[in-house]
Amino acid sequence: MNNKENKPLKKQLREKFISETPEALTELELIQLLLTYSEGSNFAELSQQLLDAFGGLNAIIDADPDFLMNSFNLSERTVVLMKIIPQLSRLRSMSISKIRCINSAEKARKYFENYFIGALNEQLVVASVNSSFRITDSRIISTGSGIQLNTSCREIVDFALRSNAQFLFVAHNHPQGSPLPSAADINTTEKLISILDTLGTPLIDHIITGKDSSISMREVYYKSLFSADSHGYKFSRK
Amino acid sequence: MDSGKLHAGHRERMRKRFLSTGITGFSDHELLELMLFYVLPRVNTNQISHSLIKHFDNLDSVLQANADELSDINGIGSSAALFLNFMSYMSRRYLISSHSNMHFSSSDDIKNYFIDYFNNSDSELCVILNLNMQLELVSAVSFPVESILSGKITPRNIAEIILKYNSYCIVIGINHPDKLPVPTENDYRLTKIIAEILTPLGTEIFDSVICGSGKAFSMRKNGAFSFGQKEIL
Repeated sequence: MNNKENKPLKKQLREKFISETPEALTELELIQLLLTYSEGSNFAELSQQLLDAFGGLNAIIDADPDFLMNSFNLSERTVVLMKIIPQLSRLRSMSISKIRCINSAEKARKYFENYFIGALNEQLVVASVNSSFRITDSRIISTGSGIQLNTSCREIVDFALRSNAQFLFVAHNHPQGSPLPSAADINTTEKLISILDTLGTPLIDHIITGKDSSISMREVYYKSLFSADSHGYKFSRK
Repeated sequence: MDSGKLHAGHRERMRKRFLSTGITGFSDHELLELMLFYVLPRVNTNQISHSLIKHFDNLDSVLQANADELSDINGIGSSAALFLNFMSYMSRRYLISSHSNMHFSSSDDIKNYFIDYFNNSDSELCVILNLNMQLELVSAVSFPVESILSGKITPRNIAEIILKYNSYCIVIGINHPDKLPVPTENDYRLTKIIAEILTPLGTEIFDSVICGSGKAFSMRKNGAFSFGQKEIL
C-alpha cells in the first residue's frame, strides 16, 4: 500500500472516532488509529500483524517493549505511546477512589460505592483508618457469590492485627440487588464488633452497597449493634 | 545547535527515561508533555502542558475534558484535542478489561482473569502475570507462544522481565483459540522453559493456566506438575 492510498484511511479513522461513538471502532481500527500517531505509511499493515500475533488490544499493550521493537520493527515512539495507556488507566482508577478520609457515614458510603464500581461479583473489603479517619490500608478479603462473612472473620482480625489500625471499616457489595443486610450480615457484624473491641481496634462501620444505593449499618443499627461511642465518626440516626 | 535539534534530543531522552522507569518519577505535566510530542512537533510542549494542568487542575481532568474545552487552551488545536480524547478512551478501555489492582485470592480468580483476557482472542498467546507477596497483580506481559518456543524470546529476556517487576511469583496463562483447554506437549515445554529460569531467581510459578473455548484448566489444581512450597491458595 502506498502513501497516497493510506492518507484517506488515516482521515477516515479520525472522522469515525469523532462522529460515531468510540465503541463503533473495531480493535483493529483502534490500533491503526493509535499507530497513525507514531508510525509511517505502513501503520495499517503493522496493526494487522500486531493483532494477528497478540489477538487483542490489551495483550498488545502489555507486550514487552524490546520484543515489540525487535520482532515487529516498531519504533520507540510507538512503544512509548502504547505504554502511556496503562499509566493513564492507573491515574483514572486512582482518582475514582479520591476520597481518603472517611470520617462520616456519608463519605464512607461514597468511598465504598466508588470502590465497587464495575465489580461483577460479591467482594468483602476491609479498610484500616488512622485516628483522623484517613484510610491507611485496604484489602479484599474474599470474592465470589454468596460470601460467607463468617469464615472471613478470622482474616479480618488478622488484617486488624497486622495493619496496626486505629479503627476498621468493613464493606461488601450486593452487585445485583438492594443493600439491605441479610440476617447473616447482621449476625456477623455483631460478632465482629465484639471481637474487634476486645482487640482495641473498634469496627466503626459496615457499609453494604447494592446496585444503586448503599447503607451504613451504623446508621441503621446504632442502637442495637454498635456501642454508643462513635469515636468522632459522624452519622445520622435513622 | 538549532532549537529543532534541542527539542529532538529532549524528546528522545524523555522517552528513554519513560521506558526505563515507567510513571514513577514522571509528574503529571511531564506525562502530558510526553503525549503532546505525538501531535505537536517542533513546539515547546512543556509550556502547553503546564497551561493544561493549570487550567484543568490535574491530568485526569485534562483527560476527562471534551474537545471544545481543550481547544480553549492556547496551542491546542482540534487535532491535539482529538488525540487527547482518543488516549483517554484507550485508557478507559484498557482499564475495563485489565482488572488493575487485581488481587488473586483463589485459583478461580486466576481462571476467570484469563478467561476474560483471552475472550475473543484467536492468537496462540502466553501471558506472564507478575504478582507481589500479597498476590496482587503488578503487571502482565504478553508473548506469542511461538516466540518463546522458537527461541525468539530468549530465557534471558524472560529473566529480565521477572527481575524488572521484582515478582514474588508469576502465573502463566496460555491461550488455545477454539480448542479445549487441555495441556499440550508445547504447554509443558513452555512452562518448563519458564520454570527453569525462575528457580535460580528465587521466584516460582504459582500456577499455569490453559484457556480455550471460554474455559480454563489450572495445572496446579490438577496436579499436572509439582510446584514448590508457596502454598497459598
